[in-house]
Amino acid sequence: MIWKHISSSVTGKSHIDRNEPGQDYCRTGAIRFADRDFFIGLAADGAGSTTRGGTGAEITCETLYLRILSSIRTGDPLSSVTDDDIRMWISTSREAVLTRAHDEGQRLKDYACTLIGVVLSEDHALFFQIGDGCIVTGDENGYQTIFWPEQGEYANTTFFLSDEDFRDRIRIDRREKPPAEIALFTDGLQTLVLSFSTRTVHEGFFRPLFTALRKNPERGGVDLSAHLRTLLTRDDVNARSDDDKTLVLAVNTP
Amino acid sequence: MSDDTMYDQQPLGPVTFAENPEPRCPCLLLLDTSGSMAGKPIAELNAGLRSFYEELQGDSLAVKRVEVALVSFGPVRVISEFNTADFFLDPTLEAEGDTPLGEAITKGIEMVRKRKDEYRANGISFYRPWIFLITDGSPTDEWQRAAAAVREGESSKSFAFFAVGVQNADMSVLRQITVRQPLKLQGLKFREFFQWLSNSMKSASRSNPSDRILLSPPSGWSEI
Repeated sequence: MIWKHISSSVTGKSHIDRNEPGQDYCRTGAIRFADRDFFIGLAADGAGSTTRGGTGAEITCETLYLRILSSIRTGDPLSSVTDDDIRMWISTSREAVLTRAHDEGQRLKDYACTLIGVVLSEDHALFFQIGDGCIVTGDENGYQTIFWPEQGEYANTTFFLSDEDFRDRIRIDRREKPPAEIALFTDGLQTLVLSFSTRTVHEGFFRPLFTALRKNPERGGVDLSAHLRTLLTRDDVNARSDDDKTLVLAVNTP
Repeated sequence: MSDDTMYDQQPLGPVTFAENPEPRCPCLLLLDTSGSMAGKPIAELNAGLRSFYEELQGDSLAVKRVEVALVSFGPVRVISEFNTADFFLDPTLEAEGDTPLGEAITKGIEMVRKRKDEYRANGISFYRPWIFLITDGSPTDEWQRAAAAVREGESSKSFAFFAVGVQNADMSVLRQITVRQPLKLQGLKFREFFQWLSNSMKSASRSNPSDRILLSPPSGWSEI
């Protein structure tokens, strides 16, 4: 079972108009270790109210990615990873951000970001999240969210890794069987791909993308990540959401 | 057209998007229409209100997101429940009666609470509601309980409450009601005030993820 995956992180129109950098970041990888296949997908959204949220998002994803890799390289099965281990991984990445904040003489909250992540093996799946954004899993029968996006009371508020009580905000879930298809996306895409009145996943968005990814040959295929970037910056998408947008897609193939 | 040709032209396939209601930006105006507002003040208030709605109607995003409710007091009347600006009834407010400020605030806070419940029940996301109190007098009813409710609502971030005093308004009472500095309207510059408010509502209704309240400096209408 190998994982085919694509991802794209684009700067929203609201940031472009103000000449600001994007604050989303993602890190993905399909890893083969000791004849077993793994997929790591991480995405983070730097808080719009901060100047260094994008840096926080990048450090968080990169540090966490390395931390998860070293866990995989111990050879222990994913099912032996406990919820406390996951909290520890996330704390490690938070500390890396804290170190950067100290170095730059800033406060941790200036690097505030959300975090969504998945680690998949052939017989296990781990999901974790702080704040908004969403993980969607599915197969030919339909799509579901792992956690419904977490909002503060108001449309423009959520929870961040930099929050004092971040440990209590980490949501963790797991499955014995990895999903056939998985997507991670930040809050800039939420209202376009989820129906909030029914709390359901909009299948018309995900089905064509997963089908295209599955069909695209490993060698000699088209650069789907580039097409994904084009899709996320289309005028009809910008008209609905001018925020940064990140989308990670992975499908497993026998 | 074969499936393969389709694929070449649209490698990612014909994606569609979910339809969701726009996030709402509620704003409640508590307007003093007591007898002392008679004459030019009430005329200027009416004109300012009309220009406020026109401004919001002219903004394609604000007209879908900003919801305004109007309550007049002297006596307390709900002129308009929460509605987007395209539902403006163009009321002509008349000056009459005394200044039941406490009752108006209590009524307003209740309307905000109900509206938030309606948003939640319908899966509509929303920004923190703003309540603006505009008065030219001093309360003629018991207002201390309403003031306590304002402070409680502010500390739980249920809403943001602003007070604007006109002419001979009792600013010391306003200071006891709001946790924010009350502002004094320059003369009868209602139009300038509403221009400023519509600009503030327009920018608040843009997606600008932040837990801060982004009001522009109240220049052009308030006394320092």
